[in-house]
Amino acid sequence: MTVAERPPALRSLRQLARAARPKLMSLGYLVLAVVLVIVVWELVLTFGDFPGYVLPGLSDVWRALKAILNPNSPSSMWTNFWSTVLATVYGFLLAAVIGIVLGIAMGEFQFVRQIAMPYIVAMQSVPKAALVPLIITWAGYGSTSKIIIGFMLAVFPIIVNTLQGVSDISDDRINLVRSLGVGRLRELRYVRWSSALPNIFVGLELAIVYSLLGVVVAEVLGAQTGLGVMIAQFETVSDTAGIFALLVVLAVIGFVLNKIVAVAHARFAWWDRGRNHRRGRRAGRPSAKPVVSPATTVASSTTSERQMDKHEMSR
Amino acid sequence: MTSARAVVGQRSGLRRFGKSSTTAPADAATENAIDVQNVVMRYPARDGSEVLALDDLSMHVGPGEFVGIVGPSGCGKSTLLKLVAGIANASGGKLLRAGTEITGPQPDIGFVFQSATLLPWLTVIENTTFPARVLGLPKKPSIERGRELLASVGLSGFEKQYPGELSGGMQQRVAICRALLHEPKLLLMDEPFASIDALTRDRLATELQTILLTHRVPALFVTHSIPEALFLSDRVLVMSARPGRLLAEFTLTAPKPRVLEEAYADPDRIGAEIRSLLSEEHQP
Repeated sequence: MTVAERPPALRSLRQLARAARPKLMSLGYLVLAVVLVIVVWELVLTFGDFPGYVLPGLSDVWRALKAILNPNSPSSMWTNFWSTVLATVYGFLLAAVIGIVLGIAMGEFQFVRQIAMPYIVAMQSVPKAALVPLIITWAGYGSTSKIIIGFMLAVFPIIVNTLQGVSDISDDRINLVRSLGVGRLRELRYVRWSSALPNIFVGLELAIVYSLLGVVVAEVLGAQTGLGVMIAQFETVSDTAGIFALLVVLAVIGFVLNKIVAVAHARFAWWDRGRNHRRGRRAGRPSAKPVVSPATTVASSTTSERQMDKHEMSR
Repeated sequence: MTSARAVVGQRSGLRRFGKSSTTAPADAATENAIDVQNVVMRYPARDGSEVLALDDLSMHVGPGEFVGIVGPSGCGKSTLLKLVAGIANASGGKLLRAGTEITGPQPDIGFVFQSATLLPWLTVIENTTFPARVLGLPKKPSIERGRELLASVGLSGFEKQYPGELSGGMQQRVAICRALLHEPKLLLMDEPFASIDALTRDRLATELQTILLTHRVPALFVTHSIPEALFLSDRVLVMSARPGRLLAEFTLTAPKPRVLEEAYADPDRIGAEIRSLLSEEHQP
C-alpha cells in the first residue's frame, strides 16, 4: 500500500472548520441580500412618494406581520397557515407516491412511457391557474381542490426526474446485475432504485415548492381557508402591507419545506449519481441535475428511448 | 475455504492452469469449455445503418484456461464477453458453454468491467458481497468469504469505507473480489485495468495472477496491453479490427507464477509478433 493509495484521512478539526466556511459565507450573503432589499425599498419610498396601498412602508409591513403572527389578534393567520401547509404537504405526498410509481413504470415499460408521455407534456404546458375554475367546479371550494392543484404542479418534476434516474444508468451497472441472471424486479431493487434516488430527491425538492405554489394559486382563485384566501381578502380592502406580510410568510414556508426535503436528500441519498464520488459520507448535497422544463422532457424521453432500444438489442 | 464453499453449494472441478485440459476431470473438462461457432454480431448504429461488430468469429476456450484477448479498439472484444456472459444475444452463429447453447445469463460467471462499477451507496464489504445479496445467498458465509477475498488483495480494514473514499486501483481490486465472491466457474474481464495508472496496473496484474492461482478460476481476459496478456495468459487470441475475426492465437508455455518483467522482455518474440499483426490491421 503506497501513500498515494491511502484513502483520504478522517476529517480533522481544521477540515471541519474549512467545511463550515461556505455555510458562513452563504449566511453572510443572505444577510446582505436582505439588507439590500431593505435599502432599495426605503430609497424607493423616500424618492418615489408612493401611496401606502401601492407600496407600504417597511414599518407597516412589519406591523401587519406582527398582527397576522399574533394568535390573539383578529387578523391572526394561523388557521389559514395550517390549512395551506397541510394542503401543500398532502399535495406533495400524493405527487411523490404517484410520481415515483409512474416514473418507475415509465422507465421499466416502454408502452407506459409512450402512452403517458404526451399527456404529461400536455399537462405541463397548460397553465395550471386556468384549470383552477374547472377543478373547483368538480371538487368544490374545500381543501380537495387545493390539494389537487398542488398535486398537479408537484407531480411533473417528480415523474421526470424519477424517469431520468431509473433510465439513465451506466450500462456496466446494469450488466453487473444482469450478468448474475436475475430478473428485472431485482435489477430495479438492487441497482436502479438506489441509482435513481438522488434524482428522485431532486424532483421532490422542486415538487414541494411547486405544491405550495399550486395550493396558494388555488386559494387566491377560490377557496374557503388558506393564506391565499387571506391575500385575496387583503386585496379587496387594499391592505397591501398585509399582502406583503403574507408573502414573507409564504416565502418562509417554501424555504423551510424545501429545506426539510433537502435534509432528507442529504441523509438518504448522499452519494453522487454516476460518478464514484470522492467526498466522504454526509459531505453535503449530491449534485444530480434537475430536469424541469417540458423541452428537456422531450429530450430526455428520446434519450431513454434510445436506451430502451439498446436494452432490446441486448436482450 | 469451507465456509466459502457453502456460498454456492458445491464447486466441482478445481483445475490447474496451463495445458491441463487433458488431465482435468471429465465433468470439469466439459463444464467450462466455451465454443464460439461462426458468431456474427450486428447492431444498429446511431445513423440508422448497421455496425458489424463480429463477423464469423469462431474460437474454442478449453476448461481451466486463462485466455487473453487482444485486438484493436472497437474490434468487438467487449461484445464477445457479453455474448459469453449471456447478457447479449448474437445476431448469428452459436455460443456453447459445456456443450449447451448459451441462451441467457449464468450466475456462475464473474464479470469484471473496465470501470470498477462499485455501487457508491454500498460499503466496500457490501459491494464485495453484492452478488450474494442479489442472488439471495446466505449472508454470513458470504461476508466471511468477502473478508477473505479483500484480505487477499490487501484491503483488510477497508470494509466499512465507501467506494468514493478509495483510489481507482483499490476500487478495481474490490471489483475483482466481487466478481470472485460467488465462486464463479469462469471469470470474464473486460479491460479491467484500462483506467488505472501504469504503476498500479503492473501491481494489479501481479496480484491478479496470485488471486487466480489461489482461487483457480479460468478466465477470459480482454486487454489492450500485450505484456499483460503475455504475463497472465495460457493462450493469447489476437482479433482483427472491426468486424472482429480471429487473426491468430499463441500458446504460452512459461510456467506460472510468472514475472512481469519477463513478459515485458518478451524472450520468445511473441509480443513482437502480435504487435506486427495488429499494426498490419491498422493499415487500411
